[in-house]
Amino acid sequence: MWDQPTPQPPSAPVSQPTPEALPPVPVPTAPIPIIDQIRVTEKKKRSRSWDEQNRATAFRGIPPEVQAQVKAVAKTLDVTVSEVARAFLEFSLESLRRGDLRLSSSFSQGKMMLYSNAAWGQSAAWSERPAGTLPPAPKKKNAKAVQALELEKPWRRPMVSYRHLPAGVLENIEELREQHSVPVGEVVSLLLRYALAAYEDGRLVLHPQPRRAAHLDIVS
Amino acid sequence: MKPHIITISNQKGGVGKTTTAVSLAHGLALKGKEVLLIDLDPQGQCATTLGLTPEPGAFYLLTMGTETHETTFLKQYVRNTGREHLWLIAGNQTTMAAQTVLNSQNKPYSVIRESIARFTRGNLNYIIFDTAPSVGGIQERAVWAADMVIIPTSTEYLSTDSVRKMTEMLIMLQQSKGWHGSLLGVLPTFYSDQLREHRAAMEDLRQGFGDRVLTPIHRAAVLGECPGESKTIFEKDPESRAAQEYQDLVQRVLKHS
Repeated sequence: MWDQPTPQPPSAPVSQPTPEALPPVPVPTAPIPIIDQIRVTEKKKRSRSWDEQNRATAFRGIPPEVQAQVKAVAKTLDVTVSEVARAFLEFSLESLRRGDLRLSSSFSQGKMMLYSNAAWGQSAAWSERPAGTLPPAPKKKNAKAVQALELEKPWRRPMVSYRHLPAGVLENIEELREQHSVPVGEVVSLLLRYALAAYEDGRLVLHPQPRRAAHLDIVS
Repeated sequence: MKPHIITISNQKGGVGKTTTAVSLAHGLALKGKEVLLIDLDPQGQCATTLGLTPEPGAFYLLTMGTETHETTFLKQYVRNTGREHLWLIAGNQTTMAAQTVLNSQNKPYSVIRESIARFTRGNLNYIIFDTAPSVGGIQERAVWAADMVIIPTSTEYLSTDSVRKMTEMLIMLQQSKGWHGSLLGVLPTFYSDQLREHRAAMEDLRQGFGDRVLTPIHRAAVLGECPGESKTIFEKDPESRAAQEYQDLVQRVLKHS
C-alpha cells in the first residue's frame, strides 16, 4: 500500500509577503505565428447580382444534339446561345400562330399513369382484388436493359438554361405544355427542332448586329 | 476598374522571381486579361525572356514626374511583347541609378504607387512588378505599391530564412508605413520532393504559413531553357508540369482579385 506521510514537527512561521508586495509574474505566452501578423489576401467574393438581374430559365430534357446545334449556330454568328434559342422559339411560336406548324400529342407506349388530367376524378385509379385470387407474377426484366432505359429518361438528361427569354414566349410555352399535357422540355425541344430545320433549309434567317461599343467618342 | 498590382519579391536572388513574374503575366494575358509587366531588376531579364531588349523604361518610371509630357514620354517605353494582352516596361542597369536618385531625394514609400497611377486609368487588369534581389529602396517601394505580394522561395534553408526577413519587412510596412496590401502567398520553387532538405523546408514553410504556401513549382529543365529561346513556359511547353503549376498560380491570382 501507499506510504503514510510521516508527521513533521511544527516549524516556526515564515513571514509571507503580502499580495500587494508581490511583483507581477509574467504569464508565458505562445509566440504569435508569423502568418497571423501579416494581412493576407482574401478570396474574392463572387458577386451574384448579375445572375439575379439576368435570371435564366432552365429546361430539362432537351436532347444534347439539339443543344449542340443551337450552340453551333450561336458560335457561327458570334452571338450568345440564349439569343439564338430566343430567336428560334419566337420563330416556331409565330409559325404555330400562323398555322404553319401544328402540334399533336399521343399516348406514349410504355409510360403509364394512374390519374390522367383529362379524366380527373372520373377514372378508377384503384380497385380491390377479389379475395382468394393471386396477383399475376411480375415479369423479370433484364437489369442492363432497365439501366439503359433509366439513363435515357428525359429527366436524367442535363438541364439547359437560356437567359432573357421574353415573358410572352414563356407564357406560350406554358400554354402548350398544359394543352398537350407534356413536359416543358418536350415542347421546347420540338420548337427548337422545327426552327433548326427551318434555319438549315434557309427559310429562317438570323440577322446578327454589332454590339454597341462601350466607349464614347466625341463627335466634332 | 483599377488594375490589381502584384509584386513578386524576395531579398534573395536566384529563387525564380523573374520566371514567376513572366509566367504569371503571360498566364493572365492568356486568360484575356490586360497585363503590364514592369521590370525593376537592373538585370533586365524580363525583356530578354520575352525576346525584347533591356532598356531604361523602369528608370524613367521611377524618376519622372506625373506631368502630361512626362507620361507621354514614358508611354513610349511601354512595349508590345508580341503576345496578346501582355505589355512590358523593361529595365536595365540604369534602374540602379534610379535607386540612388530615389534615396538621395528621400522619396516617400508611395512614390512607385503614385508613378503607376497614370496607368491605372486605362483598361489594364493587372500590373506585375518583378523586383531585384536586394534591399535598397526600390523593393520596399514596389511592395508598398502592391495590392498583393507573392514571395517566391527555393526550398532550401537559406531561402526560407530570407522569407522570414521578407515577412518582417511586410509587417514593418503594414504597421508603420501604412501599407494596405496583403500577402497572397509564398511560392516554393525549384522543389524536388526526392530531396530531404526540400521536404524539410516545405514542412517549415507550411508550419509558418499554413494554406498561404502556394502549389510548389518543381525543378524543371524546361524552365531554364525558356529564356534562351525567348519563350514563356506556356509557349515552350504548355503541357509540362511546370506550365500546369504556373497555371495553378494564375488561377489563385484570379480567384483572389
